Amino acid sequence: MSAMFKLVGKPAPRHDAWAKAKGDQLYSDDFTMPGMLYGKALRSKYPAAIIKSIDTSKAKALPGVHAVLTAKDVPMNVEISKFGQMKDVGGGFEGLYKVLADGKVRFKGEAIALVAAETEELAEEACRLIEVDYEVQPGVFDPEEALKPGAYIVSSDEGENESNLIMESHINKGDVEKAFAEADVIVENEYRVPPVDHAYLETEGGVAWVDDNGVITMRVGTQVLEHYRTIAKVMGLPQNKVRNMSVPMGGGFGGKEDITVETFLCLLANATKRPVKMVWSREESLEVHSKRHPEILRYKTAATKDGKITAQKVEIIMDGGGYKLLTGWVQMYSTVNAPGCYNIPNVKVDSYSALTNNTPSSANRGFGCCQANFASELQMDELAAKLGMSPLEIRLKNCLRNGDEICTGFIPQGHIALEEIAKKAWEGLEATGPKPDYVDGKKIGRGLAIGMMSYGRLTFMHDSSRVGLRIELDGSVTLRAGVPDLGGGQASVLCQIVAEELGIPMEKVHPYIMDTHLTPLCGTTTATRQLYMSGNAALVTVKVLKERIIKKAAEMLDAKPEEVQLINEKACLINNPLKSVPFVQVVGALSNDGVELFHEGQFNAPFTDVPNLHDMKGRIWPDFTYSAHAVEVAVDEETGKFEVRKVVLCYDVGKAINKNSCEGQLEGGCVYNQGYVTENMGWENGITKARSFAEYLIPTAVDAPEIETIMVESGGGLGPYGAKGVGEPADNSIAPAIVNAIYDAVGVRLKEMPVTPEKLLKAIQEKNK
Amino acid sequence: MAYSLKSFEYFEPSTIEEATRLLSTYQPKAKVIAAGVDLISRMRHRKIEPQYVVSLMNIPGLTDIENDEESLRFGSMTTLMSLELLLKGDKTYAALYEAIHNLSSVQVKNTATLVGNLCVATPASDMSSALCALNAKLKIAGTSGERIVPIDEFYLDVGKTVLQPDEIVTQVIVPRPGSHSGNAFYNLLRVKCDVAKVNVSVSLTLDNDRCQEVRIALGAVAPTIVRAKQAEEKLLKSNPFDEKAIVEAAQTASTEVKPITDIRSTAEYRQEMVKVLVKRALEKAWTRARE
Amino acid sequence: MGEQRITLNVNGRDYDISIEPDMVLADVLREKLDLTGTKVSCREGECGACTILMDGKACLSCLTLAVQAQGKKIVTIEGLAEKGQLHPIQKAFINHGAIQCGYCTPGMIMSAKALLDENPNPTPDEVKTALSGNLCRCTGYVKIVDAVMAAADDMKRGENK
Repeated sequence: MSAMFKLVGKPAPRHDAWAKAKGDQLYSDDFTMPGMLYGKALRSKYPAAIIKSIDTSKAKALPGVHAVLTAKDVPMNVEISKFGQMKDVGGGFEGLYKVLADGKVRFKGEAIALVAAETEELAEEACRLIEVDYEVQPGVFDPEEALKPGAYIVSSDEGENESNLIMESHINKGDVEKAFAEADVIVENEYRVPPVDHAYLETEGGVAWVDDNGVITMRVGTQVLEHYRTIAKVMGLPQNKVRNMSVPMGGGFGGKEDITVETFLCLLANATKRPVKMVWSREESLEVHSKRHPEILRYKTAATKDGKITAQKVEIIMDGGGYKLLTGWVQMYSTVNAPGCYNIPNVKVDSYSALTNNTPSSANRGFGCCQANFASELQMDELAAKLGMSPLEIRLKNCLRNGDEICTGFIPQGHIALEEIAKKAWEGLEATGPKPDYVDGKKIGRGLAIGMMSYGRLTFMHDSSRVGLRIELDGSVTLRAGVPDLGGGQASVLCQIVAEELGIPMEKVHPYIMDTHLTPLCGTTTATRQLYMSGNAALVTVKVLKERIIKKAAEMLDAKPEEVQLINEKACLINNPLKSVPFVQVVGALSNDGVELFHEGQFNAPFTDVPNLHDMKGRIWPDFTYSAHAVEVAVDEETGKFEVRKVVLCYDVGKAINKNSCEGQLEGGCVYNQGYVTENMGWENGITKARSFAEYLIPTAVDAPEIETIMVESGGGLGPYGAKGVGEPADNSIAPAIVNAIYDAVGVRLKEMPVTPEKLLKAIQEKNK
Repeated sequence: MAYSLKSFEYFEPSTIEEATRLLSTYQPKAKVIAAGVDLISRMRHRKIEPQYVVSLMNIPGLTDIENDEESLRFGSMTTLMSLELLLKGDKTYAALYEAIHNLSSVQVKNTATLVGNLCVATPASDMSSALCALNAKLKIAGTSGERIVPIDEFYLDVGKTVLQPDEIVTQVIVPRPGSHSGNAFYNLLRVKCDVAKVNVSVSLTLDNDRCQEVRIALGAVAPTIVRAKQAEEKLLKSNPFDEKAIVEAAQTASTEVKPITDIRSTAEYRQEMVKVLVKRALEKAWTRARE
Repeated sequence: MGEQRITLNVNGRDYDISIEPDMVLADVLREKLDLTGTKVSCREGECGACTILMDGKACLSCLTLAVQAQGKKIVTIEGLAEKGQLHPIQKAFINHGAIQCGYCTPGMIMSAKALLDENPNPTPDEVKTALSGNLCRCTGYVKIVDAVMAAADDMKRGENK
């Protein structure tokens, strides 16, 4: 049966591709309503200050201004934000979410007041008329400084105003000190990774209004529909009175995982009883929405002469920025992934995160994992260089294999293909020809990095997803799923699964998605969980209906249910396909019989308890996806300029359900992580220097390398048909492969990103001295 | 950054005279708009807030290009793309072609005018640098008549030119380099579509084994485009003009400038890169002069 | 300072509208003509999401005053399909998985159209250069370049029929 897929594994166009190709897809900013007002936020001029007073009288007096709101107008201004998990985890995990600044301003650009006015210009003008009396504070901008005694305290809010420490977490496996004492070689290094902007093409925005029945209704693209619960709390309303009929996003990458414009819009719509639109400018988006966590990672590695790693000790300091947001969760990823994808008997990891007056850090594709992966993969090459081993050799010697345990003692259940994919990626690059010394006067280098990242949420969050199906009397299918689609094909793949199981064409399954109150809640489009969670939920659900259909069809065909299959819009005998009955007739017969032609099913991930953060043990995630990247770079030795020429990437995707979507994730992730090496927010004492796409430079079509994608399909994943998730794991192990390739070319390894020609040239010159 | 532009009154004169009169009447609150690529962006950032905008769109002749034995002449509404297409494959004005070719996106080149770029007076302008090496001149019209200004003398400071409030650049004149001449352009960018960290343009004429004429223009290393005059001196004196002279001149050029550090690069790196790029540009121009 | 009456020719149709001269073309298309297929992302000419065709050339509608677009033939993403038939570039984007979030897609397709109208036989490098003013954060550009190359083939075959 499994070999007989009709749709699964094919590069099927997505249901929404036509609308997007025609320009018909309505995103957040493409929707207007009669009588609509425009909302704007007044933002802090300083990264650290005390707000002494706010005078809104002039702004309120401006004709055409309908509302000016400050913190005191927010029913519940400070709230612990949940992220759709079924369990209240506590313990510093759930982040503090504040709607409008009061007391201390904690980062530059923090919203202080909101305005709704008849035009955008008037709203801007009103913001300029609001007078804020600030007492500027020194602030703290370095997480290590922030953790020192006597440091400036970022928050004035209860529960976090005594120290800037957000969380500490530790792993202790075996005896590292003993291993260091017995080691043949020890390698010690410090790595630093910068903040990263999501740089989605669509900035944050949407429209909200109060509907006929007093329900506050939004049309806002979000990765987390379940935020309606937090928004209801902020508004002081029951959860059934705040609805988001969300829209497809123009990219998310974790940046639309925290609340963005939702509470602002709801407050303004409620205050004015008019529809309100708010769309952030690119500058606002770059400056105020959360970034990837900058981290300092200190590694000490012990190994035997023949390259077997015996101990890895890691200290991590994370910059959480002005608010906790998702720092606690991200820290789990950095901590557990710190040792890398290797089987190491003795591991010690100590992680600390701190509040600072920088732009808040939160979710960004890779979620703490790509930071650790960068450091650990550079460390592997440092070790290889010291031992005179090749990058491939050292990895094959130490990488995880089936049955090995990770640093928490957990043995992954899914297939571990690291050895296979590392070889395939490296051999793939070698197959493009022998490495030339120079091309166009530039020195050529090749590098390798491998990695692992979980798919599915932290298992102690007790994750679940639901999908609803209804078979229509004409044989088409209506799928309902609260699955936020940010462009990865999250909704379309569910249609593909349902169509596969029912033996009908994909276009006969139409998805209705992303409505907090009309579609079953699927959970967040985060943590690379939708295919795994909602894919399984769709499978669970369709199988219930399939059983009913097959049972009826068997009756009609005078056969046993196990002899019947659904294919080509027919139910037919497996052994005699000519004996068949049209799908639509079976549906009609079931309807006549009064059998339910609808079902809503739920899939639960494995559940675990919250780990002891001082000694983390056991399962933390459902499973992992493994990656390998082989990269060729060219370096201009006189200017330090480098370019990524080729990437051969290899992933075990378990099963590529939609081949185009799966490859698309891997290629997109590759270039996203390539950008990690060079993108530069230009933070200076809490000020963001990169305030436009002219300064925050993401790779263009010309900058992107030639990419060869190799997909291994082991079937060894926990998703439908053995699939693994790839969205975030796709954004892993390219950056370190690039830096390792630069080392191969010119003999210097920059341990801090962004890697610039300026830094590289200096390093080359120092080495040549 | 504001979403919308501050409102203004818009004029579309049909002659240069009318345009300069409007500018004169409404100065200093009036601005000229060519394609608007740069102007609109700066207006959105509230860096400039003109109350009157005078468009050159409907003035005939400003998109004309003439290319003859004497010089290359083009009007101020000539787009970067039309020049790029014109100069493609012709080594005569290679530095200008390379500067345009390396620049920005197709969309910007399709609308943006070369003169618009010059008038922004950014020290990083690749076009200014190339035109400076090619000894270009600008024809300027004002209410009191026309004048011609060499591009060397056009810039006063970052964002400042010798243009009076009622004046408009109407034409660029690039003298055709003679025989045994070569020119070249190099810059360093962070990514494909970016403003240069450093740019270098070189134009030279050979007289057997001597360098008879040379102009070296450096961009993004001072408040305006500057010439590396000491390096030029050295080259003119060098006997013979050879690889060694080039290396020495490049070294000299880098000591002639005091660049700054900003988000795009560091002072130290820029200084160093002047040396590397001047060397490469001289080598390329030399090769071209001998072809 | 008062509205001005202008006529814009968009997708083959003349629109007589009244606008403030400070309105850029992107906003006029989106707000006055309800042609929201043209996207706005950076408003600085860095991302290409607002790319449209003016007299056949790819241009940035966010950096063009609408008053300056008078007398030009403007084509937006909504004007590509003919008689309900998608343009070969649109079809290729759909079939090659070149569309993820879709926000860059209209601008990307318009840039591709300008290229293929001028150069029916581009190399992959020429495609990349032509699209270098259009940012995409989702795809890594691989499938977009594939789609444009496939569309070029398709369009040539269409002509040879």
